[in-house]
Amino acid sequence: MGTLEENPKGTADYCTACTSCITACPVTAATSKFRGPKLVGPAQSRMNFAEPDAEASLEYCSNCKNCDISCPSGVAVSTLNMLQRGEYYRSHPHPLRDHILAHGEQMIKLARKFPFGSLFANLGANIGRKTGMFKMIGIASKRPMPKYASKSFLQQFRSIKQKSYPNKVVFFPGCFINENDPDVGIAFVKVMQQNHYEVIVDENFVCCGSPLVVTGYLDEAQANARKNTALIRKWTDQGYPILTCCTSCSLMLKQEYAELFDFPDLHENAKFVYDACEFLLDLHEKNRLDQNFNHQGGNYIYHMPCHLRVQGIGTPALELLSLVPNVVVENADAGCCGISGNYGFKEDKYEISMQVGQELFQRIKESSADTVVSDCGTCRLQLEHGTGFKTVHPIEILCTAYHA
Amino acid sequence: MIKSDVIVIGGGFAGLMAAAVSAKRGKKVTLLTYGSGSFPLNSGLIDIMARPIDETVCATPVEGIQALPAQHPYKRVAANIVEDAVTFFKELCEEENYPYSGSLTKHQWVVTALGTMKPTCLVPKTMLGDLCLKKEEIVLVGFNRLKDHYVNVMEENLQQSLGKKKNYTTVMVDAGIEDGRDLTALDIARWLSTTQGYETCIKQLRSAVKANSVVILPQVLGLKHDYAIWAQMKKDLQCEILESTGLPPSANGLRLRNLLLNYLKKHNVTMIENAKVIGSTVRNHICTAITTQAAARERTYKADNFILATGGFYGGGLQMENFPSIKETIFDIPVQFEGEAEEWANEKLFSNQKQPFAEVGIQTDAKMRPLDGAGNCFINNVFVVGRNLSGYDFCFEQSGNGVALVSAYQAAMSL
Repeated sequence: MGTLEENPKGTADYCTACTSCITACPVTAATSKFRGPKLVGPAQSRMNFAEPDAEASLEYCSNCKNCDISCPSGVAVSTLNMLQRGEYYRSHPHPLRDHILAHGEQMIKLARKFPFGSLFANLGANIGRKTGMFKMIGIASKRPMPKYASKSFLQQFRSIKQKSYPNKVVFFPGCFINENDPDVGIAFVKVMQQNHYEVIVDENFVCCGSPLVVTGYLDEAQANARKNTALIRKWTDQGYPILTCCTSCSLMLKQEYAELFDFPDLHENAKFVYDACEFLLDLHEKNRLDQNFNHQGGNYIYHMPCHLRVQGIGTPALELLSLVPNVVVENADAGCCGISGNYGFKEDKYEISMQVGQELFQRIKESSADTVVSDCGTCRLQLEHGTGFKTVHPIEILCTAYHA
Repeated sequence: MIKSDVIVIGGGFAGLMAAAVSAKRGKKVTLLTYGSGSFPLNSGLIDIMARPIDETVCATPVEGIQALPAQHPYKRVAANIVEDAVTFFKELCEEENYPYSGSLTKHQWVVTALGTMKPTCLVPKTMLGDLCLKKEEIVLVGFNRLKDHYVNVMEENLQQSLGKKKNYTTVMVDAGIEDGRDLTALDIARWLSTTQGYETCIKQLRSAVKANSVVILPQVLGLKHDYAIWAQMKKDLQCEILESTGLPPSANGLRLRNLLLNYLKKHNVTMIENAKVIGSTVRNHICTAITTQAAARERTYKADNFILATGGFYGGGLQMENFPSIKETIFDIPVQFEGEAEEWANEKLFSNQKQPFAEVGIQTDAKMRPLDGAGNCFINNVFVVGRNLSGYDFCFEQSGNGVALVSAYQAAMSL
């Protein structure tokens, strides 16, 4: 199946209406308001690209990509949905809620320009939630907003004194790690240093664009993609791999840019992009991974993010963690957690999001583990919310094992 | 990737079975899947053989196999292999607490969504249609807004297949599911899996169903591979409870898939999803590695043996852009169609003969290794299973999942 496959719009014609995607779609299972990936994705998009009317239930797609994983015919179902959503918002106004959920990066960057900016931002989010203001504009009121860290990853990274090594990698922190969960980024730098890599961070990187794509801000997402692509190109020209600790960022950079947009360097850049655990596992296979692990022991349950599953690289985090003595990791293997980036933060999608995660929450609660491991930041938020368990990124366990 | 004993390519029934048998034998197995196979499309029944030559239904599956022509996949393996494969499958299902019934010496009859009776071989407990023959009261249950399950059509056809002497009743149940799209059997199955849904359903059935009837439902008795809802309903209604086959998406197909995946997980099979295999490294008739297309990059996986279970034309395992050039894209195994373009298909879709295009596929030796045009082994450590194989028309013969099971078993035993 030659050239069509590289063009998501063209892949709609590969759909044989076999229903595999319907059986795999967690949103379809959670609500009958969604007409399902087959109808909304390939079927509707063939019509939609001819006429600007939008299928009413398109808003229910969470872009979790389980449809793509289940499709035997290479149809880019979820991307067809995102393209349609982008088309729709070219001629329709966005709700304020979507603007807020899509532009978290801009807002916190602005807030950080003021003293105690992150503190006030957190306070504001808390007040917004508790006073019902969030609910009024359509942001889920039953869910805590992710807290901003008092110092961003970039702010902290500047004061790290790294050992210099000839091997270098470029870290793409992404908004969540940079603004909310910098500990993961710091752990990543330590793990790379342990393996004799120097970490470069390009301060000009912007949000990968994933939150913009899923809320239909395709042009803005494209502007981010162009900016990041130009920056990445400078690094890949020097042969440096680009690493992320966020599976939605890595999926954007590896695959979704090239599916959604059409400008130079996308495919070439993508070849240099690695999920952090994928990269470390490759090192292990070359016998170059430092295995001086010393972990006091832990009982974990692993949730594989859908955006990692779709990358076709298996479960690198699980394989890496199996190398750490005393660390026991069970694979939850219970489907999508339901959050799908900013989807579960929408008031009218909150219940669906929690319903989707039900099986996984149950599996986690029934396990003998005390901590959840997952490579995705918003999955971790959802699992903390749905189970009350502590969560960590796999790289944090490796970091602890090196420095215990 | 650490080298595996065997890499299975394909996540359909043949692939999962090949992985299961290999893992059970203690092999280190890596399973590469691209899509969810035909599980959502078939009813999870194991048809072995019903029409070996023409439309006549053979006396038993095993006699049907004996009557087959020599090029049929069943005929490539020793007779006891079919039996061993059936035993393996039944033991596996037993182990996963979802036992299947049936044997090679008797057809099992299941009720189809159209109300016809279809012969098959291995059947979950919820679908043993022979019960209809024994009881007088037949109750056909439909659900409001459920697509593709029309109780009146079923009734008319069942009167023909089972006789008009029986008493037929139809009942429509309302699941009260929120407004939205048409419902599928899966939606009803999820509803019946909730306590509230189950109780609402039983309440509506109780008023319409006499004890000691056979109650026939679409495939809605849950999505898990257990018989909990079925057993509870049997008890609550004091009736025999039966599921028909159905149009896609199929609940029992998914139960079978979940059952097998669960088994593979327990047996430490490494599974790589969304891994499209695009090529192989073969030297001197030995394959050392295959290449997948992952997001952005190709990846290489090494193994001692490879099992090819990528399906036929429908599943993408075989491709033909121009007649008669048929391609198997991973190993470039030669595939021939012996005949002219006009012999490719019988004009009548429901003809009394097998379809020539359906019998196109890869020829193998007794170990399921592919052969070249001259009949020599093409690659010594590659084994071909399921819909990739030549010499059978599963649809006509009713050997769907059966050939997949037997060839997967044989391949995994030949490693």
